Amino acid sequence: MREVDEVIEELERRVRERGVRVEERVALLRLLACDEAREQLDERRRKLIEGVRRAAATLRGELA
Amino acid sequence: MTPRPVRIELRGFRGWTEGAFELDRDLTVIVGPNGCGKSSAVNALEWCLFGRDAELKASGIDERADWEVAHLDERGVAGDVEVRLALETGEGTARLVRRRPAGAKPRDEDDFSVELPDESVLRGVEAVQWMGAAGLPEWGTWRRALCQHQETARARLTASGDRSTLLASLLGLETHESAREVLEGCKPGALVKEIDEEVGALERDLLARLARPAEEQEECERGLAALDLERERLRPTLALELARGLLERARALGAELGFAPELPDCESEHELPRVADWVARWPERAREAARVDARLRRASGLRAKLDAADQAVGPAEERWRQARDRAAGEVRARGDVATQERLLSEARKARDEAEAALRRDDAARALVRDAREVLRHAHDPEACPVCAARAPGLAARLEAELAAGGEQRHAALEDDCGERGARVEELERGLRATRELVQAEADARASLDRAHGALSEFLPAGHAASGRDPLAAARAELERLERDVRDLERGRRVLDDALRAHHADAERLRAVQRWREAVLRAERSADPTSSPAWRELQAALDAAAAFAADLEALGGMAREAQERASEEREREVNERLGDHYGRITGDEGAAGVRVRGKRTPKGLTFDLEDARGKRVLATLNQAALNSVSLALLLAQAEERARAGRAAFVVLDEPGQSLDDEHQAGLARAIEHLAAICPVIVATPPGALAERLVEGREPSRRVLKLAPRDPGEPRRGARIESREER
Repeated sequence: MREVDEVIEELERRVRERGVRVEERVALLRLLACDEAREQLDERRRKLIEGVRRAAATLRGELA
Repeated sequence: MTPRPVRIELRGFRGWTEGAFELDRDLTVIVGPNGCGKSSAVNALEWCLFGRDAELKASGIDERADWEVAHLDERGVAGDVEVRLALETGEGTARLVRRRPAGAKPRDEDDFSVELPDESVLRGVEAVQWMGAAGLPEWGTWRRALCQHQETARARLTASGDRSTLLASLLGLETHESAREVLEGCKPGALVKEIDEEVGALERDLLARLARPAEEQEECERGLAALDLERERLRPTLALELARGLLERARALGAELGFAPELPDCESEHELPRVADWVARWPERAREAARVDARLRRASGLRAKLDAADQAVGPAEERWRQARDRAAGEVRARGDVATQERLLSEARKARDEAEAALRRDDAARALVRDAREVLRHAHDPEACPVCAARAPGLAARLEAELAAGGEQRHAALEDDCGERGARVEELERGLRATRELVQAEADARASLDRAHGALSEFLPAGHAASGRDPLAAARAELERLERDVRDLERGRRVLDDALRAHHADAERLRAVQRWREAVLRAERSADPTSSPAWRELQAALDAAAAFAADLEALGGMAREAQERASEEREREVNERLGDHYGRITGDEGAAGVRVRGKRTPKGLTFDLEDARGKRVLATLNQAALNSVSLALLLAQAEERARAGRAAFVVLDEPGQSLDDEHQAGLARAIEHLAAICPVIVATPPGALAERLVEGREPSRRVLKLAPRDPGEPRRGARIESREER
């Protein structure tokens, strides 16, 4: 097993022990196995904050 | 089984023109004086594995900034380069082959392939993937944990970041560190801060806007009061009622002006935007459909033209009557043209006869005068001078003839001729005058006919067939046009009035719609949470916050895992590091140096400290620094080998700055490691070389390189002897 898989497995075990948002956090952990893990997380982060800004702009527009 | 290098063949690589040697399963020692090709031999191995990653700036080794891979011949010209590295694997011997043709550009890919034991050949990406799958290290790991480059012997320890990474690697925590960095590098805390700032800005906006709709509603109500719509009359359906009124008035206007307007439906408030669009366009459409202006222009123009034609008929008729009367009077006085022409013809004939009689008389008188003159000069006044016939009293008779009445007759003939000529002239003048008057009457008649024709053009079709007097018909038509113009002018006034009323109604409708929207906004702003956009925002906030919380939690877990692994492994690794350091320095009983993890806000960092817990690097001399660097490298390699990961160690002149005692200690440490994983050492003659060459355990191959011939500096490295123990 690759080292990164071992680390992911260990972290996944900890996630399951805590039992909070297990599915989402395990999905994030699986990203770590990709070469572009950092880029993918950054992209997801960018889309989420964009979603917040877009929704806020829509609400402003509705109340304008 | 992890791959183990067993043979290397090189051609045209740096100090070597050509060469090949076997590598021992335990220890390979390459010995030779400076400049004999030792470093080139070990560099060839890593160049075969890593290619351009191990060259120039990409290598991360400053001393390689101007590195030339190819061997330069006597003329300083580089040729083809090829290195073949044989690896023993569980399936047999695989060969890595890297070739670079002479003249290759810095960005050109090398020709790299892997010849597998089953004789298949992998190239390019497949070859690199095979290396990864076989557990061969990447360049970074190689640099840090498996190869001591003589250029960077101590550099790894002097930069704190590199040192921490190096020590984390020694503890086998690189992947933990990398995972933690990826998770925390996404900056979940900053994401939460960004979300907070966005929500804060939105709250400020919302608070400002909560007050605005009520003010807007009041302003709308003041505007409506100015349009005679008092507040008590305002109701939600007012816009709909006003719109229906507008449509009804438009329908009535169409009926009055004779056209059927296209009107939108107006059953509910949803249709008001379409109605508003129609309201804006209605004035233009109504004018187009009614065509009042165009029709009025046409009727007025027709009326003016018909009136002008009618005005022209009377004078033309008067002119014709006068011409006709004058011509009739002339005919009565002189006769008609034909009679006058006949009389003129007769008068001309009489005049011509009188003129002929006068001419004959003139000729006879001339003859008599001639004869009298002849006789006056003749011999015989009684004889004819021509025929000599006798004519008694001829001369006397001639004189008598001339004297008796010839003059009177001639005068009478001349008078007659003059009278008849005067008669002809009189008749000619009369005939011309009569003809002119007749022509004038004809011209006046033609002018009158043209005036009638012009009039007929403006009369309704079929007028000519009706037999009605054109003038009377024209008068009737003029009256009809007058009525039309009056009707159309009235229609235009109606249209103008209706459209003025429409503009006023439209303004009311727009004001009521603005008021209604203001009311709805005021209702919405009182409770923005009922908006779908609010729910969308909450969902976006929840998703972003959950992502930030997940990253934060996972980063924390990664840190915990790293700390736990660090604690578990520190003792074991420190023991191994202490062993190697003790062997090199000869102080095997002392704890020497050890790795210690330290938690910081940025994560877990590692440093070296002594037994008393103090950082040691600042106090170490060069030999001790080299010893620590080598001990770290050997400990790392041992860690990898014991963990079953591919490990073979290359040490290029590791004895630098070490005295004989330390070199002997280093030899012991190398032999200890060589019993665990293959080690290749390049070293000049000296204590280290002697100890490594003389040793028996573990097994080893010794390769002695010949000194460089000063007379042939470009000749290339040569193997002087090979020995296997």
